[in-house]
Amino acid sequence: MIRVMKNRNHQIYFITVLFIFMFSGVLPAQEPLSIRAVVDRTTVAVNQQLMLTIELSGEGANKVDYPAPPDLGDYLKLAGSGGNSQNIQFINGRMSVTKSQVYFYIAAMEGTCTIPSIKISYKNNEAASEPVTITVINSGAPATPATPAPTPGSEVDTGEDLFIKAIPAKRTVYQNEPVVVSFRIYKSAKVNLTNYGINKLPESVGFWAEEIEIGNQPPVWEETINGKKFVLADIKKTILFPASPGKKTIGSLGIDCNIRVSTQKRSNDIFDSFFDDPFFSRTVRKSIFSQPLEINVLPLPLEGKPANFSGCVGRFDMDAAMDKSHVKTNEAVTLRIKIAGTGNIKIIPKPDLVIPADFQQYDPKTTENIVRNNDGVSGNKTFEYVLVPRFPGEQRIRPVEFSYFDPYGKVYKTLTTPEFVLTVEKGSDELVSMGSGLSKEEVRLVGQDIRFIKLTTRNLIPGSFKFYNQFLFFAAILLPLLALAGAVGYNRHLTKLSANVAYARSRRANTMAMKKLARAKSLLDENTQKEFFAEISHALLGFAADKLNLAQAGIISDELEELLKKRQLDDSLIQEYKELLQVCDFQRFAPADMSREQMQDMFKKAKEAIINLEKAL
Amino acid sequence: MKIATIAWIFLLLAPKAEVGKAVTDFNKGNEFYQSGDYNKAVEYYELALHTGYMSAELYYNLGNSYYKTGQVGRSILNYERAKRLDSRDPDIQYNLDIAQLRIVDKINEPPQLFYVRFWNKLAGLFNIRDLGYITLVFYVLFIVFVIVRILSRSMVVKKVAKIAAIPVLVLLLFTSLLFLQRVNSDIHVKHGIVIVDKVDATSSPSQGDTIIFTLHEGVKVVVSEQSGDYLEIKLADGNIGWIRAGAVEII
Repeated sequence: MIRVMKNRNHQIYFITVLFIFMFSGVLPAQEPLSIRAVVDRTTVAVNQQLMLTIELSGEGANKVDYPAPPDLGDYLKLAGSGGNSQNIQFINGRMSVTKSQVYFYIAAMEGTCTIPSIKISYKNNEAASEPVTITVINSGAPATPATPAPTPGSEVDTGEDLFIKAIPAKRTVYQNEPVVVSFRIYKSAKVNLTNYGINKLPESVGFWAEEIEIGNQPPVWEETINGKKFVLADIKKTILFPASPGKKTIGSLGIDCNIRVSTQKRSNDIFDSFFDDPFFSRTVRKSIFSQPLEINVLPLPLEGKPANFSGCVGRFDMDAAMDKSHVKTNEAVTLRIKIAGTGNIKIIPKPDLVIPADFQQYDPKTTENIVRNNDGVSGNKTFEYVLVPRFPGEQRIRPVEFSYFDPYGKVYKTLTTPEFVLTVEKGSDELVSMGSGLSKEEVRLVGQDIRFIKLTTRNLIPGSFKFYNQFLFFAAILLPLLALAGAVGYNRHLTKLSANVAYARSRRANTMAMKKLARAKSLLDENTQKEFFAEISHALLGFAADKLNLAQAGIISDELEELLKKRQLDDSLIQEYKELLQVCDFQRFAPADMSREQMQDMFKKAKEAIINLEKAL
Repeated sequence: MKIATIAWIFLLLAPKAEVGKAVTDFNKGNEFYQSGDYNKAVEYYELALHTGYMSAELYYNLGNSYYKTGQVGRSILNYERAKRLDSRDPDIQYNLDIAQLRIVDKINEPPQLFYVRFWNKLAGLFNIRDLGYITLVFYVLFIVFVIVRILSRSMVVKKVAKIAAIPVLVLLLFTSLLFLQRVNSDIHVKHGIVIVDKVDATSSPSQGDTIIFTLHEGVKVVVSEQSGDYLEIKLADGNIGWIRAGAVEII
């Protein structure tokens, strides 16, 4: 079911799209582009406002930018632009776009001028408006009232009897120099003004504006201009600080006035004056505008501009003081810097006070006192620094400079405070409570720099030195390897010893024999003759047994002789060995007296025999 | 005969004389540095290096002098050279960090895995010589344990030696890996520092080719190849380009 619905929906879309295409193919989509310039009146009195509406319609109207407002020379001055509107309609499939923009002009000079044809173009389509002729008349001639409900027949003269003027204190000022602009209303005795209200505030692009308070009842005074008495009042006063150099325009101020006009005009009637009261009169509403005002803003001279120029223009004084000159550590001192004068007080920057790092410091407290009057803005700005010295001694704070431009003398001026000297004595260690929990000062990095050079140098090495290319390095690698190889070889030898008894006995034979001989030598004495020969015999037999891997106990000389012969030894060697053994045996069992020399000789012979046998085997 | 002997004596003494000259020039450089004449200090330190002898202190002081004369590239170059000779001197590292703050270019290194970072940090603690000594110590220790194990008669001593040898072997493998890697990079990888204010890196070793990026003084690069008057360089972020050989000095 849902699926069916969906399909139907698709169909409907399709048909709609189809229709749109069909119509777009058949019908012309839109009307051609057209432009119209419409004025609310063609005759305008000096100082009155003219409303010009530029209306675009047709194809592409919503895509074309509004044309620039036409320049109407000296007769009519552009006072500003009103709102714009756009209107899109679909009628029987046709789209029509209409959009319009409103411009306001103020009549300035008598004469006739023409709003030229205004041209626009969109995609090769061009359109131009019809020129419109405007007549600017002086007051006296009837002007079409601007009020929504014009009252026919009423003749309200406003050109010369009621007008506003924007009066600047100066026409040429320096950048940031204040200029007071008064909007003054002039009213002759003829006009009976009951009340007024401001309907359009002057635009002041490129200015920093400060209003001067006037109150509901501005002071009124009288002046005679060209023999005509006028009542004057400043209804609005603005202090303007131009932000950048160049020609700047202050827009017009517009007010709505209610003017009382008497209804009956009976000539010479005795009651004329009698009836000239509100009861018999009516009120006419009227709008009047001031002329736009042009101000020439000069750039600040580059010549002599101090590096630390604050940007302030005016006249200033600086005053700086510390509340104490002697203080104990951790006691607060207040340093107050006050800059007073006329000029833009608000833009006075924080002075570049360099506080030594030995002070605990807080952000300065800033207070402003500003008075706005006819001379511009004046007042003072105070910076209050709370400083808490942490260490005893004499502390100096460098002077503070403040520079500004004096537009009267046309020079830059620099104000300097004296150097602040503070004598700090050792006080209690406790920090006077300042809301901060700090009790000890960390070493604060005031500046950043590299560390100092090394004063001595060790280990000067050749530039081509490479650690891994040195002989010693390779030696250090190889030597342990050699040691390891030695250890492995020695271990193999030990293993052989323990594994092979014959090899072990053979390796040990010499050592054992020599041990026995050494013992025999200690017995080399007549008293121990027997023991001496026993040891010699043991050495000889033991050596041979060890070498041949025989049991020493069962060995007899004949057997030995045969075994030695089998090894193909020299006969003389065997015989000598045998004889020595026989002598030993003989001496052991049937000792004959022998001299010490003979015994010595015997010892020598035995040793030689063992050495010879060792060599031979 | 006599002349030959004298020549021999001179040959033997020559290195000593050069070292003496290097020390004299070093001290003179220090004097000029302390009096604030950094250009003169640079001159004398360079003279000291010209003898063919070097030391970490000499390169460090030269780096300081270049920093004070505003040549950040050369100061970084010399701090890097000093660091190669003495990797653990905190002053060298501090001044190098300060000098590097003045580098205009910020080259983002791609983030590395934690163990790569750990490995690099560990390797950076030691210079080649330290690593070599450490490796040698473990090497000798290991061999001593092996020998003890082989030769000792006592079963207890054998067992202790065997147990002790295993961790020493692990450490030995680890340090020798670090050491060999370092020796390899010392031989094959050439680092360089840009010593001119600004240099354009092109896509090929010729002038007027497409400029890929621009480097400023003090940037550290890896120099991988040379072709004529051009060097192929690689940045820490992986970008590769060719620059004039004179713009970079090898550390």
